[in-house]
Amino acid sequence: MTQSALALLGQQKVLNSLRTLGLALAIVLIAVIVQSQRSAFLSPENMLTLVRSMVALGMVAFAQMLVILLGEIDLSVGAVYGLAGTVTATLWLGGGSLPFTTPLLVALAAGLGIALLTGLLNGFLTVRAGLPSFITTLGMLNVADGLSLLISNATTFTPAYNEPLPPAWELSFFHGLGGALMAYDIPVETLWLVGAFILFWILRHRTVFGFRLMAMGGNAEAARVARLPLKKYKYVVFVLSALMAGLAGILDFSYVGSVGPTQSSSLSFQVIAAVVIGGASLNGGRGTIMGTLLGVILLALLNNGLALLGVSSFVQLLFIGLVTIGAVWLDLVSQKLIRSAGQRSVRSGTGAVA
Amino acid sequence: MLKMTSRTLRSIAMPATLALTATMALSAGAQAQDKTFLIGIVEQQLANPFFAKLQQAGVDAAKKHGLETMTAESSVAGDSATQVAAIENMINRGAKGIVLDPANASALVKIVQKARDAGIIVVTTNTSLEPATAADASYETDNLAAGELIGKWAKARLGSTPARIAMLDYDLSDKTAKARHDGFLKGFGIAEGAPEIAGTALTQANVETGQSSMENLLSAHPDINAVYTINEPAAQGAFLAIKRAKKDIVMTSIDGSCSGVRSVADGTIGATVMQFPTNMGTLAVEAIVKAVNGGPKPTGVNNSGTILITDNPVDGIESKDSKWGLENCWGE
Repeated sequence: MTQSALALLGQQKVLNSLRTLGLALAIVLIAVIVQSQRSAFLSPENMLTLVRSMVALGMVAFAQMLVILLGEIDLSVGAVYGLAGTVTATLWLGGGSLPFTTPLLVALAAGLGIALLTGLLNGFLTVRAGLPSFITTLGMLNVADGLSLLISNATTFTPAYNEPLPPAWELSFFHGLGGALMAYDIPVETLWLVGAFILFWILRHRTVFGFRLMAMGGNAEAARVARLPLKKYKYVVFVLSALMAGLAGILDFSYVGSVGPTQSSSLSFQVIAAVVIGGASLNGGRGTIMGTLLGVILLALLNNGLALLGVSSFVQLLFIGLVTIGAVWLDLVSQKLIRSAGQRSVRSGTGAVA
Repeated sequence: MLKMTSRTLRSIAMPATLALTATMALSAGAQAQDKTFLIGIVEQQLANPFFAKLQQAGVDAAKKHGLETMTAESSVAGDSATQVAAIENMINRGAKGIVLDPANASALVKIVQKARDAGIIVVTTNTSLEPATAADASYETDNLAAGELIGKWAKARLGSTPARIAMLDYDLSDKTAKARHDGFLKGFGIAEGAPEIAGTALTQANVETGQSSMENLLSAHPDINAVYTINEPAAQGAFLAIKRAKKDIVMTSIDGSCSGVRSVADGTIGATVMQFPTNMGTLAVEAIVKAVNGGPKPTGVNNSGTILITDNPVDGIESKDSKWGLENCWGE
């Protein structure tokens, strides 16, 4: 029995790497097709555009993967992404419905602070009040969007053309957060993506925290018996998710050079799509950072590639929807396969992996 | 085990094949037109019929020249981030010209500079950047001239009756709203704050706020006999209030949407000024084509045309009737 359980685990592992491989293959395939039609695709400029477009999606998706690993979901990230940028802009530049302004650093802290607060609230309502996180965060999505509009008075903020102009050092510091270009015209923002990837990879795959997340998500009942701190961990993942969303919002504000009302809510669904395409299970207990990164790359590639091919933005949406559904379907099919294979090996009493 | 693996592989290959065939089908269509140069058209949200008409005009003009087009649009009002990303894609794709309807006058300046540095001709439509010289040229409605037309017409309609004017404005920090407001006063021949202005109200440029603002103004100033409105929905709302108060009032507006022209035909609106999104899109594309083919580069802010639409023409102001208006209007 132990042997066949081990075999099952082994097969799961094989399947996981096969799925990752399949995803990587799909990415290469799409890239080859786009390149064959549009030689501009593999140009350094376009590669930079592509990587840059993954920054917010990736940073938020890594954190979302941890939430999903616990069997929860955070739909509010898109709105929190917008809220953090808007709060920062309104406090720093004025012109919204707040009667005062603050220096940049205070405004940045407030932007991240409000993201932290939404994360804590999501955690509190889910853990303490026992509401399903789907509802909690759906509500929070609207709360955060409403708050953005209320605070900013639906204004578009552009620091470089603001009246009065902020001090020069504040402008260059803010630009330096995400928008400034390094050698070879690489935007600073991409460093944040790389940093977030490393951080979350270690957190998920090399720490007790990550291992326990997977264990608890896979079997909440067993986790309770083993006295694992499930509630505390839920708080942590919701806060991480909201913080990454807030940070990404501020970085994109820095890169684009302006922030406007409700530009963001579609991000939530792109993020969840990326995590799911990356092989995470919405039931919890399964998901890798590498897979999520591949999911992010696939979505960014579809957006960029279809745009280069001249496909209208309406049709692009359609594609992303179909790919998401296809990925989950694939997931379901492969899970069924592994279960029946596992049962077969249990019945025959021999390990399938010899 | 072996059997399972092959099945698994097949199920993994499924979505990949799906993506492959679909992408090939799409690209096969796009490839055929690669002979001439590429032109990018960036609009604001297409839910607004004005923007949809403008984009369609640009695409049609480009097709006429056998050009390939790449289009993109904001998802909501003020969404400049999507426009920035779209222009980046167009630069990478090697577009020769970009027609841009900026979601925000200053937020797009940086990326437009980048495009122009790459040798792309950027022409704005509908509204210009801040400063307007950030783009090569602009094709837009001269809103000051539009305001002047209805100001003059209202003055002529009132004749010797002492004017009591209600101004139904939109946020005057908006360039278009300010120009229309100033133009009306100029055309009417009065200054800001003149005693002829009975009252002003801030609307959201829609029917609801047009009605409520007009109700308030009429209670405060029952002697109002002329109304300026920022656009036709505001005028239609104001008319509901006027009808309930059973007043005979000279109503003016600006836009030239088909619903607005129908309001002119049924007497709800006395006169409106039509603007021409189709002209904007067409002129912008023509200007780019000319410049790319070695002609002069387009410059400056160019008027895409304004025409007074009324069934009560007055001497000295050129106008067209609502029948002509219905043949040339845009939107629903």
